[in-house]
Amino acid sequence: MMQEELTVLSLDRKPDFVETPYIESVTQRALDYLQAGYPIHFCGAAGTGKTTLAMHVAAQLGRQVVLLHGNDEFASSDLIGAQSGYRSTKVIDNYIHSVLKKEESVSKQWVDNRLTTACKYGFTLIYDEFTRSRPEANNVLLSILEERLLELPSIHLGESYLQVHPNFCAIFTSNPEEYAGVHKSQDALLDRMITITLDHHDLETEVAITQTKSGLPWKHSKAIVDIVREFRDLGVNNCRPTVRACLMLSRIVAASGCAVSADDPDFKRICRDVLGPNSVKVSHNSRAVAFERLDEILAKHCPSVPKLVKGEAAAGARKAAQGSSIHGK
Amino acid sequence: MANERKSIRQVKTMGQLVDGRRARTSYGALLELSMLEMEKTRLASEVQRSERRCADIRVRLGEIEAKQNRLKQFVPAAQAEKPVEASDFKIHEAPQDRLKRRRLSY
Repeated sequence: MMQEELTVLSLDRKPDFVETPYIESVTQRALDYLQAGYPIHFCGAAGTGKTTLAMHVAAQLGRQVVLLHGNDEFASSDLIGAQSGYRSTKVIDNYIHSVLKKEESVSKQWVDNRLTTACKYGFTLIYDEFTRSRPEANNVLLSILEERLLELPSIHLGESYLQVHPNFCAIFTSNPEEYAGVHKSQDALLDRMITITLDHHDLETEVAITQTKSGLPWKHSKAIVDIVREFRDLGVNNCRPTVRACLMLSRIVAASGCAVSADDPDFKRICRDVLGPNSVKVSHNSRAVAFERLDEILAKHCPSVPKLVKGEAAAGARKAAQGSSIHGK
Repeated sequence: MANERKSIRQVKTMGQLVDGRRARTSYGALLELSMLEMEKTRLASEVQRSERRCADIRVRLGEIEAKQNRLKQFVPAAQAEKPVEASDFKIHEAPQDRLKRRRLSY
């Protein structure tokens, strides 16, 4: 078998990671379930922080992590491994000058994929957006989660059955609200895991995330979060805009130095661009009224404030944005 | 063992309730008698054929039994199937020399 290198991830918490009582409580519940031996499944709409929470929980376990992202083109072999080619060996023996001996052998070569690696060595598996893979590709997880046994295809040259390592843990995420590019999951699989349904973060958490990652003062961060939350409530399914919109708005405001005020035309324009009429899809008499409502919301939450000093704000934004990704991805 | 093969006798039809071919006239009766006689002849020959086949099979089974007993004398007793002891699955340890670690901040 090929002695290939195994790439695993060590998860580090960024300094600007926000941990509020809400996040602590979800993390603790997830850890309790994992330590009891059950896989967990974070289920929620976009922007509810599923992936970040999955990484946070995995980091608390203190083991190496294998990360997988669901994909419609996945087959079982993309999870467990496949025959990636052949190994050819040729020996030419010319020890006696007049005698030339050639021996050539060709053998199949098996390469483990990430799920097998995680099961074999007891790594923590994060299977992000697992419903983006077709259900039949995920069937292999059924025996892993229940019997703790991975069944390898007969072309595998070693053992056909692999006992899952006792330290193996699995964390899944999925988005039930998504209607594009996702599949239904089989009940048998969902029945084997504990599903924690995540809603949008509470106000305190969203403000803390916005403030920490943008460097804006608390008051401005709160105003931006209030605008986004009220705009979100206008929509039918209340999925968008998410905390990502809060981050976009606050970082752009911090970088451009405009005031968080309904009187500031730049701020109004940024709000219109970031929030967009399509995120809530509100219409009246067949006419989109999202922007009209947005103007009302801005007037309600953003009274006139003095303009920020451009240099200071931009410096704060740069500091916050350095090397950081959007929380809640 | 394969399921018992069912024949035409097991197929339930309405034929027993109303026989459309029943004879109402003398020439109809003669025609039906002729048909029945032909069917009887055909079935009798089928029975004879199957009896011959059964006899052949019984002979062959006897031959197989005799040959098996003769061949078993040449098989050493040690090669008889022994119960295999089951062992526990191996728990693998991560090969530290092949492990490539990458840092990911969240």
